[in-house]
Amino acid sequence: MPDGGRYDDLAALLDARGDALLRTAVLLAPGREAGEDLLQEALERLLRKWHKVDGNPEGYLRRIMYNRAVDGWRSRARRPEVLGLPVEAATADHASGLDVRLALMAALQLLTPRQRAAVVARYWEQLSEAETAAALGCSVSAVKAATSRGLEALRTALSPDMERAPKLSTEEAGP
Amino acid sequence: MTSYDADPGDLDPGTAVRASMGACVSDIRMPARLLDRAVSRDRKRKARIRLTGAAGVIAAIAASGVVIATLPGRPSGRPALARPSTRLQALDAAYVLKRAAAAMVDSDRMISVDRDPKLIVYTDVATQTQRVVNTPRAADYLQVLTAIKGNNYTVTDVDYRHHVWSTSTISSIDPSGTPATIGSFLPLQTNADPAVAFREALKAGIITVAGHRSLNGRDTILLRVKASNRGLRVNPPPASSIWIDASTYQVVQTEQFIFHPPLSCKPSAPVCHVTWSPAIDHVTWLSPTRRNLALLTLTPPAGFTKIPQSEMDQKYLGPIS
Repeated sequence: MPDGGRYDDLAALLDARGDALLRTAVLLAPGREAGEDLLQEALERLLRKWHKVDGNPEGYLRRIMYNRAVDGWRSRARRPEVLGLPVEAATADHASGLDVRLALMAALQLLTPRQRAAVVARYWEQLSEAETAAALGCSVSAVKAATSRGLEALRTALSPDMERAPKLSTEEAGP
Repeated sequence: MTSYDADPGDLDPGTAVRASMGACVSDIRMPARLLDRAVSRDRKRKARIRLTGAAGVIAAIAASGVVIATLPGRPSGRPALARPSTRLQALDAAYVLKRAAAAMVDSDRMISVDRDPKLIVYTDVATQTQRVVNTPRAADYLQVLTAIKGNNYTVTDVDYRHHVWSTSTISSIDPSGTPATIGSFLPLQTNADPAVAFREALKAGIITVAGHRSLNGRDTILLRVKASNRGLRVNPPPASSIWIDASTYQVVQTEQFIFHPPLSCKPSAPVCHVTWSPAIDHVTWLSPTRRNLALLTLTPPAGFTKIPQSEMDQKYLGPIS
């Protein structure tokens, strides 16, 4: 493989943390394919600035993913979003976990990129407000506002589904 | 994990969101070869940059996520511009940016042609089909066509120097080569609505409307966009310039400032001093007529040899550096 050192380091990182990183990317994008694109693009960007990486590259990778996710409106102009189901269709039937997933993905699409990133960082990655602000490159108050509005929008869109959300054990939850 | 016996009263909103997210992505697994694809695309990007002769510059800019800038002064090499007319000063910046945002949305159905001295990029904005041509005068004459096929992108490379071509399918496209729009100069803007994003940028002083300018006899309005060195340990760049047509409000020319990384810079130095150089792109917008859409096609000439993409990457586009 080319350029063994950094490739091996990244391969080791993805072996250990790839699933978690991809899950975060899928929520940030949001969507499976868009998440894979986001993570792949973040990897490309990390390769470009590899010489700057000092220590664990996972932090850099996450920062790039969040920046790209928040910067998403220009990217969306380049590639049409593909969403499994519209919100109405996804929320029409609450009978299965699949509906919950589709509804969540659809609801995440309704948030602004920053709201989505803030909600994912705070509630999925369980970062503190200060850590989220650092990841998004904004103030703590901006994080609070984005999280609050994002959460409210999600609750509005998802209230029937969220009430049916499964309880997760500590081991199951989180990236 | 599959039970739905949670009492809604037991769950605060954050916990419920987290639980939904967990259920949503629990079966997500890292696909094989995602890193290989990233490495391959990085290699290809470097090869293309080398072909266009813009190496360190674009690499440095891409690495920062930051782009360009303007000019308080008039650096050499800048196109000759007429002096601003008096009516320019009366421009309503908010109105101009509102029209420019509408024009940017309109451009979604058009074909953009971006030209710099070494490269021409044709982009069908609606389909994202893109053809990149480096000028036949270049030592390595290469054309690349990227087209959406299903949920993937089909990339065709034709190397006219070595008379070879290849094609491959990838799941995402090279982020470089974005059509020149005002939005592409606002890396930190997050609002999905360009009109709102531009208004916010105006309010924040990121965008200013300098006024009317005659550009090669064409009436244009000059915008200036503050550039940031965020993420880079370099001295700040000057601002970027964007000329938009005074009647259509479409972008017709851009000027960004780019730099070559310094040969050496101490790791302990707070700032590495670099020289920012102007780079100018000319933009033409075409209607999607049959004739214009033909610009988005690429057929390898007869006699050219088809080779695997991996061979094209390794042998002709160059090794990863």
